[in-house]
Amino acid sequence: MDLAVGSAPDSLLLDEALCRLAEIDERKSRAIELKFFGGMTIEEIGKVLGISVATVGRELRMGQAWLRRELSQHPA
Amino acid sequence: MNSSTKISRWKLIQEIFEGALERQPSERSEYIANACGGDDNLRSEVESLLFNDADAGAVLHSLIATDIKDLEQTSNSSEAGLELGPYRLLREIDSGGMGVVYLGVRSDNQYFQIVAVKMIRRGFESPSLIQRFRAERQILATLNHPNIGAIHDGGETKDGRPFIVMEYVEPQPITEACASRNLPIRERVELFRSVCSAVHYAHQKLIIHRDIKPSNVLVTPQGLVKLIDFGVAKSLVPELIPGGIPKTETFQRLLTPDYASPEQLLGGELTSSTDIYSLGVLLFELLTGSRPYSLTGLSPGAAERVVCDPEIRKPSSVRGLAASTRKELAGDLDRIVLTAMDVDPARRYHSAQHLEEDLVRFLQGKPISARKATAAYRLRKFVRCHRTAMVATCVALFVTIGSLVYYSWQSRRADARVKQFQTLANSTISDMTEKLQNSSASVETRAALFQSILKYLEQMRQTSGNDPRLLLELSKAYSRVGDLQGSPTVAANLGKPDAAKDSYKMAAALALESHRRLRDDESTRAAIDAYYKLGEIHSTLGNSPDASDSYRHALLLATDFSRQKPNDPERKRLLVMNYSGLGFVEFEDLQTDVAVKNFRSALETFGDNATGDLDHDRTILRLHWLLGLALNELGSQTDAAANLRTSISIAQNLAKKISVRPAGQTKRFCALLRNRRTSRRIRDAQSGGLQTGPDVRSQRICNRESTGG
Repeated sequence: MDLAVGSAPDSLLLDEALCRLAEIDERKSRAIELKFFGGMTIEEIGKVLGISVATVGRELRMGQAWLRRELSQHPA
Repeated sequence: MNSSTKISRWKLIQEIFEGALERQPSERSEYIANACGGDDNLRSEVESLLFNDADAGAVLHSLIATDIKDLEQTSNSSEAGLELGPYRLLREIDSGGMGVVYLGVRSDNQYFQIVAVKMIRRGFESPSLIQRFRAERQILATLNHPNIGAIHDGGETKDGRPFIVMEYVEPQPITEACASRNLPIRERVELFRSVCSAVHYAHQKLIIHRDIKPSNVLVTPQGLVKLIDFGVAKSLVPELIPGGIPKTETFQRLLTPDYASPEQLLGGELTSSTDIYSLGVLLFELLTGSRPYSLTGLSPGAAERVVCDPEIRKPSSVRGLAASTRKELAGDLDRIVLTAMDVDPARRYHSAQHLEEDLVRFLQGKPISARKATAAYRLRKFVRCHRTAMVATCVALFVTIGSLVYYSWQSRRADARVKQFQTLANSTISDMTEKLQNSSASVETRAALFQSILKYLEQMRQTSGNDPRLLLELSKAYSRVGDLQGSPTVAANLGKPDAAKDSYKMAAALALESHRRLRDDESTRAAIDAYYKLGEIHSTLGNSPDASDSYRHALLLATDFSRQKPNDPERKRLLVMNYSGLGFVEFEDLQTDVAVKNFRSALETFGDNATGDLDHDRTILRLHWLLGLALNELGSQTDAAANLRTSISIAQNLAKKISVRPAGQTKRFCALLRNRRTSRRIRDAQSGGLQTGPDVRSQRICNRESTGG
C-alpha cells in the first residue's frame, strides 16, 4: 500500500496517473501540473486557469488526494 | 456508466469529500454514512480519498521532485566511478541511446589494464535488451581474432544489468585513420584486407556482424584494425545463445541505412553476403573519401535511381577526385567494389575471403576474378533493377518508419513528461499573455506572474536542454517582462527602464539563438522585435552607441526578412520601425547626414504617401518631420521645407480623424503638435524663413550642454 522509500514511481506511472485524472477532470490535472511542475502559487494557478483562489484550493485538494491514492495502488 | 452520470458521480464524490473536510474528524464518519445513503461504493471512494488527503501534498511534492531528478540523471548523469568487480568506470566514451560504453580500468593486485565497459544505460533496461546484451557477450566469447575487439570479462551490475568488459581501442574509425595518415590507395587496400579477414573469421564461426560501418571498424595507434560492436550480430546457430536471440524487430535498432544491404533494409533473410555488401560500401568510402550514396531524405524515385545505376556507384566516378586517384580506381577497383555491392546477393563475392583475394590480386597486378560488366550484363542488371523499384520504395519507407519508431520510442520513455511540460508551457504562455493583456490586474501583479513563468521556463530549460522552441518562448516571456518593467511605448509599466533593458537583452539573445536554429518566420520576427525594443530602451536611457547597435542588428534581420516577401506589409513595418529608430538615434547624436539616409530608406520602404491607415500615416508624418529637421541642419532648405510641409498636411488630415480616437493617442498627438519649438519651425518652414543649418546645429549642441546631456 505505502510508497516505499527509494522506490519512487517512474515518470511513466506518474504520467499515466495524471492523464487518467485529466480524463476524469482536466482542470484538477492541470492545476496539479502547474503547482508541482510549474512551481506556481495558488494565485498564479488561478490566473492561468481563470478560476478563483478558493476554487484552486478545492481542485488541488481533491486532485492531490486522488493522485496520491492512484500512485499507492500501483507501487513501482 | 455513461459520461454524464460519470461526471455527476464525480461531482457528488467531490461534494461529500469537501463536506467531510469541513467537519471535525470525529463527525466525518457519520456524515459520510448519511451523505452516501447506503451506496457502499460511493462511501469507500470518499473514504479512500480522505485517507490519502492528509499527506498528499507533501508526498506528491517529494515524489515529483525525485522523479524530475531521476529524469535528469537518466538523461545526463554518468555512472563514472562505479566499481564493477575489479573494474572501475572512469568516464563515458560512447553512447548510443540505450547502451553506453565507459572507459574503465582494472586495478587490483593482479594487474593494471585499461578496458572498455559496455553496459545498458540506467533506466533503459528491459528484458529484451538484457537478452540481446547477453547474446552479444556470448558471440564475443566465441570470437578470438587479432582484428576483432576481444572480450575480457563480463558480469552483472548490482541492479541486474549485464556488462561486457572489452579490450579498449582508441576510437579512431578506419576512414579517419586513412584520412589523417593520408594513406595512398594501395595502403588503404592493405588495411582493408584486415577487415575482410576479421569478417571472414566471424562468418566461419557462423556469426554475421550486420552493422559494418566506419565507427565499428577502428584502427589502433599501432595501425591494427579492430572490428567492434557485435550488438546486432546474429549467430546462424541459435543454440549457441542460451535463451535464443531476440528478434531484431523487437529491439528496433536504427541501422545506418547508407551501409546496409538492400535485403537488410527490406527485412529479408540475412546471410553472410549482407556483410559483403557493407564491406563494399566501406571500401568505396575508403577509396574515395565519400559514400556511394546517401538515402536519407531521398524520394523513392531518386532512391531507386541511386540503388540501380551502376555508373553512379563506380568509385572512380566520384566527383572531385585527383586525376591520379581516378586513374588508379578505374578498372579493377571499380569492379571489385561493384561486385561486393551488387543488388543481387548471389552475384556478390561468395565470401569475405574471396573479396580479400581479389584485392590481393589487384595489389599484385594479376587479373581479378570479378566479372567485367558487359553490355548484356548491364542490360540484365538494368531490368532486374527496375524490378527492384519496389525495393527502393521500401527502403525509403523503412528509413522513415525506422526513425519514427525510434523517436516515438524515445519520446515515450524518459522525456515524455518533459515534452508535455513544454507544450504546457507554450500554451500557458500564450494563454496568459492574452488574459493578462486584457486583464485589469495591476502592473505589479502582471509582472510577478510573468516572472513566475520565466522561472518556470528557465527550469524547463535546465531539464530539457536548449530546445529552440523553448528558447523562443523564453525570449517572448522576457520581452513581456521588459515591457512591464519599463517599455518606453507601453504606458502602464513599473518605471524601471534599467531592469527592462536587461530583460530585453535576454530576450534578444534567446531569440537570436532560437532564430539561428529554427530559421522560421516566428523566430525571425521575435529576434527583430527583441532587438528593436532593446534599441528603444537604450535610446530612452540616452545610450546612443548601444541603441544604434541594437537597431542595426534588427535591421540586418529585417532587411533579409523583408527581401523574402517584399510586399508583406508586416515585414515592411518591421524594417521601417528600425530605420526610423536608428535614424532618430543618429539625429540625436548629431550624426545628421547618416540619419537622413535612414529616414529616406524608411520612407522609400513605406512609400511617401498617406494611406489613411492611422499607424502608417503617423509613422510617415514623423519621418517627414524628422527628415525635414535634419535636412534643415544640413542646409538643404528647399528639401527640408517640402518634407515639413508634407508632414503638416498629413498631420492636419490625421487631426480630423484623431478626435474620435482613444484619449491616450489623442493626447500624445496633441502634445506633439503643441510642442512650441516644433510649431515655430513649421511656421518658419512655411514662410520660407528657415534658420540656416549650422546655426540650428550649434544651437542643438548648446542645448545639449546646458541640459548636461
